[in-house]
Amino acid sequence: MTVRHSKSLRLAFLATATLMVAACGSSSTSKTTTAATAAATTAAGSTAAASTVASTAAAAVAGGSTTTAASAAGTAGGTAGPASGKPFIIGINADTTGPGAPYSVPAFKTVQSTVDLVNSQGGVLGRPLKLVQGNDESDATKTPAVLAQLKDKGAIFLLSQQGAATPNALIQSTGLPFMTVTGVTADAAMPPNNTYGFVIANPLTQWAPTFCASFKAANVKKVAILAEDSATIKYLNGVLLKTMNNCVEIVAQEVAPINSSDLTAPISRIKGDGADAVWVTSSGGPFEVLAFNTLAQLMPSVQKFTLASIANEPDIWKLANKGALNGVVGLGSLNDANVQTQKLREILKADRGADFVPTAFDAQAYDAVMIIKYAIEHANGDTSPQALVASMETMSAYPASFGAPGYTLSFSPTKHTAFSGECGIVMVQFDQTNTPKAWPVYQPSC
Amino acid sequence: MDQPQLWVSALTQGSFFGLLGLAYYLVLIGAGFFNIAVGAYASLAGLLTSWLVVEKDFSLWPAIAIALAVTVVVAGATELLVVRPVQRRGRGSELAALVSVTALLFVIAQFAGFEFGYTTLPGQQLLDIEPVQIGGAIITANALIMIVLTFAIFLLLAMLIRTTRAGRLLRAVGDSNPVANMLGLPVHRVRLIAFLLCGLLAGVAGLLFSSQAGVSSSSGLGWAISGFLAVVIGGAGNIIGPLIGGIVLGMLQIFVPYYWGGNATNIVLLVVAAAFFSLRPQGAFAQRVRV
Repeated sequence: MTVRHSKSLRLAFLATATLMVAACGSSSTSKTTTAATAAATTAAGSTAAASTVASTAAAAVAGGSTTTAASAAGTAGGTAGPASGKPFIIGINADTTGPGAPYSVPAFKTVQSTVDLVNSQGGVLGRPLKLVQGNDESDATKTPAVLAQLKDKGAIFLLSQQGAATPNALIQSTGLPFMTVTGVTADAAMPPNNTYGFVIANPLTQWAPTFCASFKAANVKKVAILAEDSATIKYLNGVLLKTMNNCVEIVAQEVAPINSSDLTAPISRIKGDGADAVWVTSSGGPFEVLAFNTLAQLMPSVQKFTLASIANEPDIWKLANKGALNGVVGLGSLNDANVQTQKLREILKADRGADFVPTAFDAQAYDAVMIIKYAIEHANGDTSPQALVASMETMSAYPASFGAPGYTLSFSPTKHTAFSGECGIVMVQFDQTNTPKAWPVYQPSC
Repeated sequence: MDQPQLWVSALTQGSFFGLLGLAYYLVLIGAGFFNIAVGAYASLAGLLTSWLVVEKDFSLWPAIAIALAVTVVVAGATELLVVRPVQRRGRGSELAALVSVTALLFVIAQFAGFEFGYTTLPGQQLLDIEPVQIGGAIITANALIMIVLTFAIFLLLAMLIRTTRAGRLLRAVGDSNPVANMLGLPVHRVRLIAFLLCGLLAGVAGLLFSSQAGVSSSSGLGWAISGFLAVVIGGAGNIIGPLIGGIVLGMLQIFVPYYWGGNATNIVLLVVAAAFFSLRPQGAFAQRVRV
């Protein structure tokens, strides 16, 4: 290399080193509620729409202190026709950019669609819902400012669709009811200081027993784990393996960078370990597809499991080679035997086109808006935080738009986590067309 | 190292890194400049091809032709609209041009994300044939094409650069733009050709490699770093340098996690890159100068 080229090399090296540092920084910001957690939350979602939105629009306001699923749906309506008057403002912290964007954007879009749908069919007590959005880009240091901004814009209710779990103290400081849309860490709704926090997803603590039962049903005794190298997955695996170590023997644990372009090496290491099944734990996306593409080539006959995310990423399924996902089992969310799921599917297809494939993200986003609608109506339009919280606490047996048939959600003054059983989780298995269906071998019971 | 499958992966990765390194090399010897935007060209070609096929229902080969044409135009525009004006204003300053091209890397990535979406798109298989098994290793069509094409391109360019007038012009201009100017050589044209070739090579590499794990608007940054490391390891004294550097890098990417686990890869890469930069900054293949 000439002297001139050496100088160029030094300059380029400095620039590249800076880029590498920047790249590392941007990839390490995701926290405990990433795609995997969001995916899992889908398993626990619920839908207030016992009837279709059309029927909710026509329904009258209910007035009892405790509301059943049917009446919850019935309270949905104001008057038929477009809503008018002063809007009820919902603030949403949605990561439309940043590490959480891949799963936040779909949920945010469905929140928007549902708000539009409600407004087009009479709104809430005849008044429209209005959505104002903040975006902390999964950066916890920005969350306080974003929430304050949403409050300043007049939000009466806050939704969280973000990569970073919001601390209880921060939620309390807003003084507004706060609901996590797809997050699976139930901390925001757990005492102490849980006056305003609500969670609708099945919590992470239910995942490990579900996987243990699934492994047992599939006669799997030795499991090899292939994990992406991220803070989120490290945290999730830590929580899950505490329980799972008691039900299966973990014979290998391989970790690979999240942006890997080849997984031959870790899978070759796993190959000789005598595992009955390989369990891929990642926050989804290309890593997961690459893992199953490679596993299909190198370990075609071994049973494969996935954590959760890929079942909720229809755009990602087409990345997989033909049949590469065939037989993969994981935590999913939607079960077409659930009537509410069928209704949600029809509503979203009408809104987004016949090819749209709803996921748990959509189901929980839809449910979140419908639950807020219920809360406002049940409070007879009183938008004080106390009235809305009290109204939320009366919601009972709310029919979910995901989970097993008949799965419902409920809140009470002592319970701000909405799940009513493990059957909010649906175990799914991919078929030869790389599409997930309810797994016939095992489903969590309620 | 007795597993053929690992060698196939190492060669596939190495070929990709080598091609990217070659794209760097061409601009380096033709314009005396490290074109960091190489990674962006590669991801743009892969992303545009997939977008045209998946979202716009184009046939594969027209999509490839369009994507490569666009990538080559973008590479040419890099020289005409970014590097040349910046160097003219900065009196040949490499730092200003390097910063501008680094910014261009992000501009292209953001534009690609805005236009084609921020999600990963599936890479396209050039040939619709099942993977073949050779000696215990499974090789996909794209991997095979990647390896064979890489070696063919290196061979062809080595011959062209060493034996043709165009090759000698390229080296002469890259060695010193001012001297080449004084000698009346067509400096601007040669530099432009170097950038166009760089774009073409990076585009081919990107669209072939994107079938491995898909391609997104953010792929370019990592690819730019990988190609750069291939040049750091292999050196730019000989056209074969980027290929050797790429293959060494590919071997590190595959064999280090196989023997020491996934967490060791980045550490080893950093150590190797730092070692080359501090102990042998000219890379494995240094240019020999007769005095």
